[in-house]
Amino acid sequence: MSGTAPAHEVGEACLKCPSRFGAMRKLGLNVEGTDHVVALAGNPNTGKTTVFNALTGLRMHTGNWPGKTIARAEGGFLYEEKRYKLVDLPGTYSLLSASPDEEVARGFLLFGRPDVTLIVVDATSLERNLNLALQVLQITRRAVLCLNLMDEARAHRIEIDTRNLSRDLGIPVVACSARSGEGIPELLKEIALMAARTDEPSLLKLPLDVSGLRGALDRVEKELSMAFPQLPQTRWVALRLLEGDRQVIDAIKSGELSEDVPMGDAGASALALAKELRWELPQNLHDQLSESIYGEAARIAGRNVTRHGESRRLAWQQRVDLLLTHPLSAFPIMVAVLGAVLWLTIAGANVPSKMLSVLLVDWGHPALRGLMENLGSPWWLTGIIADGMYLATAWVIAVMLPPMAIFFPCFTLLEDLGFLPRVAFNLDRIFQKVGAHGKQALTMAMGLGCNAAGVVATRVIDSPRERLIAILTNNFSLCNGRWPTQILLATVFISAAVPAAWADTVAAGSVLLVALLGFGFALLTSWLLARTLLKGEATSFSLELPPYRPPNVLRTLYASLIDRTLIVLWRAVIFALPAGAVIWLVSNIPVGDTSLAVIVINALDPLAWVMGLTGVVLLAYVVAIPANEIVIPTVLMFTVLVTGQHSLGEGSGVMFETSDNESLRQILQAGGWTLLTAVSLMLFSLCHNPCSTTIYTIYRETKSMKWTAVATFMPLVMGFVLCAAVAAVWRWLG
Amino acid sequence: MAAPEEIKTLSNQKVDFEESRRIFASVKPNQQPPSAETREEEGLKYLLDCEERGIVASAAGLEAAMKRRGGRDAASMAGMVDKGLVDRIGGEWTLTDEGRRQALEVVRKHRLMETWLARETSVPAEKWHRAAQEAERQLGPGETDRLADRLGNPRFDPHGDPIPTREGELRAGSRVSLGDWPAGCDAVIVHLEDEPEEEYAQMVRMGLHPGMVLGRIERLGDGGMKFFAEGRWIEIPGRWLEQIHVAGVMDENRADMAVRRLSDLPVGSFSRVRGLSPACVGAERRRLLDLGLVPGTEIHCEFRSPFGSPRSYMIRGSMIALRREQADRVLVIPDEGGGR
Repeated sequence: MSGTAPAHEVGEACLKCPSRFGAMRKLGLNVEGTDHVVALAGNPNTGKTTVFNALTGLRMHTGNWPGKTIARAEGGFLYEEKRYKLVDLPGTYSLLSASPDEEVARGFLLFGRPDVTLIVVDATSLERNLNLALQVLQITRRAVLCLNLMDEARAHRIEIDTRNLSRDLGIPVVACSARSGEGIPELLKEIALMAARTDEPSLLKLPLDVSGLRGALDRVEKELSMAFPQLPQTRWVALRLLEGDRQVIDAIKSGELSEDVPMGDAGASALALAKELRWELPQNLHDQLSESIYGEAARIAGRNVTRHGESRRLAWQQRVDLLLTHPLSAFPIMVAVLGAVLWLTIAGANVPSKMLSVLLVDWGHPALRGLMENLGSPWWLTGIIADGMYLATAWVIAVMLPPMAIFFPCFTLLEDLGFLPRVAFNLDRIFQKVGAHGKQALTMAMGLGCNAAGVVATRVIDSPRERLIAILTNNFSLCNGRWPTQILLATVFISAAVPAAWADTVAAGSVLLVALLGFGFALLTSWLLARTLLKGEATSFSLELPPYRPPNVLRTLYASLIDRTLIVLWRAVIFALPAGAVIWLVSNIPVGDTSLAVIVINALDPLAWVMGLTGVVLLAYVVAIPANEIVIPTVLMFTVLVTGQHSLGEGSGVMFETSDNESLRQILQAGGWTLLTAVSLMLFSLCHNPCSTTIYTIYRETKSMKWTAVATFMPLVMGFVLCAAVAAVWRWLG
Repeated sequence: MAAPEEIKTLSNQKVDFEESRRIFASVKPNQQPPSAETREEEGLKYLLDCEERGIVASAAGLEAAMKRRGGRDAASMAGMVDKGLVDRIGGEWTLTDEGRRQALEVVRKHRLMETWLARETSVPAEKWHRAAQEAERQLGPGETDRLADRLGNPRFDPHGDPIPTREGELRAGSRVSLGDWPAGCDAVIVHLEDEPEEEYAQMVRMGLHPGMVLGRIERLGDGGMKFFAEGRWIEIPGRWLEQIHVAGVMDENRADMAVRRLSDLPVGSFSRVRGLSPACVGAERRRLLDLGLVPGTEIHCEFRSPFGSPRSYMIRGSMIALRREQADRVLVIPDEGGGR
């Protein structure tokens, strides 16, 4: 390899060393008063986010996914006394189309006028990546090319002549491996040099061999340079005008392009000329343009890239792919891996959950109560704060945190390895049949951990219809908060109805059945949505199968804890606090000689009977909307309240749980529970409105009250119908 | 944990479906008698169509075209004579200048709407016409131009009909039906008549579309035709020949008998992209181009999913999954040698 960066090993100690990047200091989110703005452009899945993290010290999650950076991120760093603001643009393959991502990237490069544009390319597929680089260089030559993933390129025995590539492109080229920190010091140096340049480097002029285009371009460009003498990108703007790009036309009219100087007659005549000339160009101008840029990228790549030996994928990768997608082995492997992750989550979370429960509930709750009583707080305030808000929150943390802290890192690890995209690949046909995208398999698997996280994960689906379908149906993935409910009901009621020898099998089988039913419902509702509400929506499919990459375990752990676990937990806590207060209040507000809760429960009883449930369960679902985790404790508390088994509970409005299945059954049977109640509750737990955290997340992702309402009420209605049907058949059969 | 929360979500991240929803909501069989306005618009379109084809417009012709009886269309036409949109000389109707201007506006709206449906939605081709008819009524004059801008001011609609410009020019193209085309000469489909709807739907299902180059055209004994197009032999019945209009092709655009569809090649095969089928439009076409499916690109089909589709292809150093429907649109020249 002949690169500007010497290949050197960076150890763990080096990574932590503050002086490692010369006079560089990471500023994280602190981007106030910056001297220079650096834009970060690149194809999806080129390690752009890793470069961003390496420079700013932030920990954005990097997924082995195309299109991870949907939202724009900003961060800062200090280098040789200058403050830099780094703006991470959406990852795009080109700047030619009218997609929102590309408009954002194009708009920022043209109107944001960054001092330096850092183009991150994947050294292992330079051809395809140079396509974007060439388009960027038509807008700005104040750019540095970061040849990322050099370690992988070396593993593929790909050699890149960086010096010659730099000459071909006319910008500095730095070979990097942002994951290990290799090349980052050189990159910083080049960024600083480019930012300090005061001249305006001339722009790249591509030979666009489309018949009639060059003449038209020359004429429009001439008009433009008369209208906007200060504008460097006249040729590129002329091209956009000939393509009829409204964003650019509007920018010329409004003066945004020319630093707020309103458009003069010359500008108007440039627009008119372009409008006239475009009718003389070939009908498939856009196609021919992209084709010729790709052609140029291929020529440059061909000159500078040497592939030694096996030019295609590594043999072991091919073998692994064949194994993972073979009709005989694909599904057993997928089921086994998913099963292992779920088992690890459920089994592994037990011990830390118990510990947290002891700490926060058994020890923390009486302590807080005692403290408040000693301070002379009135009984109702102690009730609302300690018994209501604190206890609900403590419960949510104790039950939610450990499984998520196990599930999400496992999931992220599988994602980073490249395993999950293969799952999407294998299942795509099924999802296509119901009008959805294969990646929905992943968002659904993610939903097994947490539906809110599953909804966020739908961002990787780039087709609007399929993404909306995935958002609306994610709730049918049985989330972590509902697994314990299912397992509890299955062991306490269902397995008790069969001979002891079969108890465990039947319990496990019935939980699995409910989860599979959820999968079936998701497919069914996807199918219905695609044919009714979302009929005719635009759809396009793309799925990249990234090469298998060794995951950076520590960073993955850190990122998935911050990105997914803590965010979700934080939102849950926000909602749990008021819900705790409500739970306590309904149980303690006296109405006549009873409490509000009892009145409501009695009012709900007839409806609940139709569904095979009890009024207690329905009220518990209403007040426990923040998190499915607190449904069972709330049910127990209300049951004790209604049946008056005061010796068992902790007092009205105080949620509790018992680890003893036998006493649990006795409490519930006293509350009028039968086997039907358990079955109906298992179904209703699968098929009801999403928790408030998920509802809020759906609103954040769709920005639409309407779709949020559909996502909320559709499963609720389905749950009512399903439970009522099951109850009716059950009673009819006797 | 502050970092991800701090990410600024983009303003255009809103999943905006309302616009298309408005249009699809109205796509249903319309059993009600058309409104007076609709009758007028349809009458204008009919007259413009007659003008284009050089045939005489009459009450009987109008009723036949509308598939309606009862004289109300003729009455509406009389109303338009009063409004100065139509001239009546003897039994023959012609458009006045103002009438032609309005007719062109109606046609422009309709064809732009069809283009939008073809490019930006997944409404099937046989429903474009009706969906556009329903939707165009909701477009104001300003909105028509905005739609045109958004589509990049296209010149032809998805059936191959020219779209009147906003200045009101309509480029007339010469049309030859496939039935009149000499066998043995290559031709390109320039227009598919979308009436009758049932036949049009069948043509679409068979994969016919404007821009398709037909090679080795042969007449069959039963009156039908057989030709080689986009990597496959296609046979069509004789009743379609008048619905398909064709034009000659330049030498360099003649049908290449070596072309195959990517979906027809076996797993493990190597090939080189010849081009994308013109049937592939809008977001789908942009996507494939952006993935690097441009002429000359080498493709190696690596493996397939357990259900056969999608398959994974090595394209310019990346592994990309393509569904069968997508691979159908990629025209390639098989590379027997394999690799480089």
